[in-house]
Amino acid sequence: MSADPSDDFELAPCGLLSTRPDGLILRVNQTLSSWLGTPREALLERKRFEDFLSLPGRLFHGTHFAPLLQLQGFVEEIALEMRRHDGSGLQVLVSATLAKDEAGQPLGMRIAVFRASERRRYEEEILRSKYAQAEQLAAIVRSSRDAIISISSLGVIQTWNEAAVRLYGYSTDQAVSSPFSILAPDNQAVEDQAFLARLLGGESLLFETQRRRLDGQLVPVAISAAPVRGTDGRVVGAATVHRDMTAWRQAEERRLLMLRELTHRTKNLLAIVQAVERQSAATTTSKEEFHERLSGRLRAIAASHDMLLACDWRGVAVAEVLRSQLAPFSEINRLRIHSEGPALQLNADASHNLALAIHELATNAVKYGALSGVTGEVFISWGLVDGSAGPPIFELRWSERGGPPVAPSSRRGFGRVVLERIVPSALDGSATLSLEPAGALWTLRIPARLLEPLPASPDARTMAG
Amino acid sequence: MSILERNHVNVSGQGARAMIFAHGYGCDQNMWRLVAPAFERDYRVVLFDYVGAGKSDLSAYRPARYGSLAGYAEDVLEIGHELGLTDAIFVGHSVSSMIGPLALQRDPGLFSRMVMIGPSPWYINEDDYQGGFGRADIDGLLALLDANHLGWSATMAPVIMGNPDRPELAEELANSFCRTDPEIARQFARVTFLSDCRAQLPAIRVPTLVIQCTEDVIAPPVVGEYVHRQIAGSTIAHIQSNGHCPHLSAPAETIAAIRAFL
Repeated sequence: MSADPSDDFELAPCGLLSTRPDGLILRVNQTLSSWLGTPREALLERKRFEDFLSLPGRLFHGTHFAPLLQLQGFVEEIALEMRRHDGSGLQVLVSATLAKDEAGQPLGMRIAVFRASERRRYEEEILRSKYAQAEQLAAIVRSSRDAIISISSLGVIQTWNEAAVRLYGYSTDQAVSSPFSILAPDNQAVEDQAFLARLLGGESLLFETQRRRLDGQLVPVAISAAPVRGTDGRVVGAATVHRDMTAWRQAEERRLLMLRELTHRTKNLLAIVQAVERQSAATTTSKEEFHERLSGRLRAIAASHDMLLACDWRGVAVAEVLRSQLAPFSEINRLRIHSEGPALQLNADASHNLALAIHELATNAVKYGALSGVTGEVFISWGLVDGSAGPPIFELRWSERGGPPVAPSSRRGFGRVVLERIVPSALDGSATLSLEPAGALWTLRIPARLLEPLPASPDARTMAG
Repeated sequence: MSILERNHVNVSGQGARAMIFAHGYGCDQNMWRLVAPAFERDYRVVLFDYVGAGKSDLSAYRPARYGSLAGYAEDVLEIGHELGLTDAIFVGHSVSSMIGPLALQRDPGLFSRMVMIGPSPWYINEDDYQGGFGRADIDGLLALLDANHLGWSATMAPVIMGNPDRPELAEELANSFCRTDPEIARQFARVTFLSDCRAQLPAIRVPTLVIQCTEDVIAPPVVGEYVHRQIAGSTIAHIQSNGHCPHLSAPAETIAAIRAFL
């Protein structure tokens, strides 16, 4: 070390300067004057510290540095940029103290300047990547289809994204700074308190609940919530993601409904199969005949099922019921089967039963009736008729002409049971089968409420076949 | 939370007329502590922090509202109405010199006199107007705000914001006078330095005093003269001082200039 103690000031590894009360430089060390590239004589009593700051630095100095120094007597570690004589910049950290005399009058300032180029570059890099990350996160939150809501450790809403506006109806301005409990239905205040306490106690939670929208409506949501921790590990708030479960709930309800319906239908179907099997056995004389009649009827049931499946178990057009059941017969008899009626749809039950009846009628027609010879024809017509003093009636007529003369004894057995009893009683209606010599005539009358949807106008007629 | 709590309003002094002191960009109402007490004998002295500054309620900060000086003028109006101020004297430092006239436009009975300390209606050099800065300098200031959070940090924020009933927690921390949420500081800086208020000056009809420091880099004397010329019938007082805050660096001269005007 040199013997001269003033060297400790002059050659200190940081810039040092002191000023008069008006800010003019009183002393400056050699280190700073050489950093600035300005001889000491040009500084003393002529320049102030802030004269060597960049313009942004002067703005910061005037608005923060100087007032803080005046108000609290010191500033520490303020990052600024100084301008050297050659115009180049010098990144620095500055600390300063205000010196006062015994009466409290300012004597001037003492300022220490440290070079900080490396540190500033490093900090800027961190800041840049912080902003990039924040921007990335912000983009995710902005574009999320789920509501993302963050809350403070006091349970106050701090951020509220677009999806939250859509889900709950509150604008961002309305929601931010409001308590999280604005979303709690009246009867859930206690549960909500418990939820917040667990969340802010550090627990991550995933649960389904109901929340109240701005318009008072309740909306089913799935909430996934996680505590947000500060750098010291303490919970400083929480991030919550809210998914609207309305559509999912509806799908789930529909699925359960369909499952119940399916069970019901399967049972019905097995009962029908059982009855068909029993009756077929009782009305046939040979194993071959039994086999033929049974498989024909099972095919009819299967075709009717395909049809219902194709339309999702909703209504089926009458014409479609006919088409599905007559398809195997109409291949050769297309020009001999005529059907006509308005575009009406039957519900699943009615179309299933009608399909069974049509199968019996067609089978018999081919075996013994109008389609058994080369000349006969079948006429099918349907429509709505006024029920006498009652609700409207759906009527379907099957009439055969030009076939061989009908022998009354030829229509016995299960087919007749299906046509006269099973189908009409299943559909809460009535049916008549008359076996006149000119040909068979079957008339089915069932309540129009089995149509789906209920027809607006019974005049809407269309050709079908 | 009431308006008075929201803006941390402090009322002191006695007198029929009120003086409302509005701080500028950067710090809070503590800036007035060497000047305001001098008027407590004759006036009702009103001090406050804009929302976002000092001990105001930060949760009341709305980026949309405070995205223009009009939002800050609303703070002034709401405080004025809450306290029932009429014919008051408005003392505004720096950007507040431009906020006061906006509040007065909305309620012409609110103030009957205005004092502007270090006013600048537009900071940017443009054609024959010398505001003193370029747009790049304002960007540079924003970068410096990022580099100087003045004791604000993510871990500090809950301590400062989460304990309104224990102000001493915030008090103990250094730089509390100028500490702001960095996001708010950035937005206020943009609003302060990138709002062109030149057009509103000629509309000012109340007696106005411009206080100009002889050496102010932020609001140079040429800008003070410009403001003085644009406001018909205004007075200008020059204070021999360096810097942008004569109410801190030259309080006695500042008090004398205001007294002379009143």
